[in-house]
Amino acid sequence: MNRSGFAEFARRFAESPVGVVSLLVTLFFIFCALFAPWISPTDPYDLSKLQLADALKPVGAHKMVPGEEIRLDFAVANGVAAAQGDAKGIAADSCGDNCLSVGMKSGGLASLQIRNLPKGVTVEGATKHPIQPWWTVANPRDGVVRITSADALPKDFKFSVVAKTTDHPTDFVFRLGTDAFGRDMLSAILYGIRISVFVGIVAAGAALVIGTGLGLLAAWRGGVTDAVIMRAVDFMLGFPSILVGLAILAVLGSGVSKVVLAIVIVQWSYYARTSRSLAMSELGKEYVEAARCLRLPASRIMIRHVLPNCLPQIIVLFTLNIAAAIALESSLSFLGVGLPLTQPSLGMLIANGYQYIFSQQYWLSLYPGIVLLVMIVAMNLLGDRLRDLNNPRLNN
Amino acid sequence: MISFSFVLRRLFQSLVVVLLLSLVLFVGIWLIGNPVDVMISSEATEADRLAAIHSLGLDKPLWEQYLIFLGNAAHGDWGASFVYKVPVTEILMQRLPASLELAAVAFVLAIVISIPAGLYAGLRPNSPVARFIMTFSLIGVSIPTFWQGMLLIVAFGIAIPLLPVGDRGQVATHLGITTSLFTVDGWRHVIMPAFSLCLLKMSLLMRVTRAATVEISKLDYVKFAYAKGVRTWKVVIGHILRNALVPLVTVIGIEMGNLLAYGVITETVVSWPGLGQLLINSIKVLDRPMIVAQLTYTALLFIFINFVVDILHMTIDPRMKAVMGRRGA
Repeated sequence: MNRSGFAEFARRFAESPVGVVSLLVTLFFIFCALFAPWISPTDPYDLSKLQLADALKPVGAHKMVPGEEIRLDFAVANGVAAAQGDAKGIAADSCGDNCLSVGMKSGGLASLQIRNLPKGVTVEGATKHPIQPWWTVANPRDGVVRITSADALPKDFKFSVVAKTTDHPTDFVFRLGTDAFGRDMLSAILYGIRISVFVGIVAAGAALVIGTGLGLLAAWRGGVTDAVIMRAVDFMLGFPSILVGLAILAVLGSGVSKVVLAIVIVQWSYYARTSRSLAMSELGKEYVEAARCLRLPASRIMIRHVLPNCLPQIIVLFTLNIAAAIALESSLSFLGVGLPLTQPSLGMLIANGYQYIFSQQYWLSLYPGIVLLVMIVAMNLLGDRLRDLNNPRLNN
Repeated sequence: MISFSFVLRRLFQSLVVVLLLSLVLFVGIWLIGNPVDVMISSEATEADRLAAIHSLGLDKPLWEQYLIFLGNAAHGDWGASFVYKVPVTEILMQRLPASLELAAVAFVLAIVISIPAGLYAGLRPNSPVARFIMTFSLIGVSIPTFWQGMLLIVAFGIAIPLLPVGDRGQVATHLGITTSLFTVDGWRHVIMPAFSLCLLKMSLLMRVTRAATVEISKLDYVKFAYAKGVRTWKVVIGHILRNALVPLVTVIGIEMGNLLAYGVITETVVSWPGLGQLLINSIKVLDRPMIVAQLTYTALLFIFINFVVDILHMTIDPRMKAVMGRRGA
């Protein structure tokens, strides 16, 4: 297609707002697929970044910094307590003759444990360990506990502190919530789009090459070759795609390459049938006759002359088949026979979220589902639009 | 009149396909590995192993094994399930009614809704209702079956708890047929899964019906019928719908088979105790006899459906005879 031809095609394409929107949405998803590692807020596969404190958080929750444990020894000399080592905000002050307050003034302590106090000294409001000389206060008021005794405190003694700080939120927001491993769903969805689009395009592309090749071969050779190829096509078209996919994966086991193979086996027949019938009608035309008179080799006539004239319709089929491939892959993954757990596609994200819908944690499967639906609808509409533009009956 | 030779040739083709299929299946299973390794215990001696191989007939040449496999399969003997330890056929027969009733309800639902809706959308293409029908059908063909099943469960099982989720409910037996369709509880269980199962097919049929209606409404004989003063509903029923049915029969025939295949997804989503759920579970636990039997039965079913659809198509539309004849063997 030359430049003015393309401009004309683009102008006609732009006449339908639905077509334009579906093209933009499709391009957006391809963009997401290509640049997922750069645009996603986190890397969902980096296991070291995941923490259970973030598991199953709803939409808009903040990422938490988990509480840490601070262990510290104090020595009291002449009534003045001093931390031995890095205090990390834990301080001990006198609060009277028989009182010593220990804690974090800024608050934010989940629990504070005082260990190894001398005889007769206790901690206010604490539960004591049944055997060890340990006193624990959960959620201390103002972040401070008081060490007291009935008489005045000894002048010199030692004790240890084990403080646990509370989880506190950071600025990072989980815009679509998190899954059971504390993984950011937005990132997981972006990576899921990447895998789904990759599988869809690779599978539909391989099916296009194989199917179109066989279709052209059948049209050119005719006779027994044609009969064998077309009977195989009829055979494949007789069975629903989900069943063929299930049968292949049941035999081969799951995996990305096997899912792609299953989709290719399902889809090559569509291309073969279409390209054969297109090529048959092209072969009767005069330019093919002219090329034959020039004694051009058969492969050259088929690839350089016939194929370009069949291409527009094959591209329409390609667009629709990417959508079909993505839908088939997600169904197989949902059934648990598709992609492995290490490469979660959108279908698998939905499957993983399925067990949580009964406990109101709908975001786990709702958003991947919406993304999948929008993606498939956009590609179907785009394919329909391209088909309409190619249909000479609808022109003018 | 159907030509006898066509039926015969078509029957012969189907038989060749069945044989080819059995060969593919046999080789595929043979490739997976030796079942003896799975079946005998790890403490078995080499002599035990050889005895097991001999008793299973695995020491015979491959072609002989294939013939034995064919013979047994023809008798309906698929061996015993690894998991349930009973003959596979027995389990399949237990599960079959649940799948059939789900598919049957879905089938009726799809036809009862889609044909009137498609007809309306084709007759009044610019009305708001027609636009709604077309949008609905676009989403219907695009939405993944498993996801809309989940949405339906959330909507009608959890948010507004109108319908029970999971299982097929109470069954009753009348006239020797045991099905849940004889009880109210059964209907309450079946209606949502059936809708979920048929949504895709329903949307597809709507689009086909609409396209056929639009095309036929423009034809001269319809215009003539209107001009003659024939009542609108008579034109619609007698002329438009009747001719629209020709492409529909093929689609309906094929889609009916697809309902059984797509039952795999719906049954998994709503935990319906049918064949589809059984197939998925069998694949997950590698219950080989079960997988083989199910895949073969479903494939046979599809070959049969394709055969019947071709014959039916030719009876309805005489023009097809020429096409079928040219397509030949």
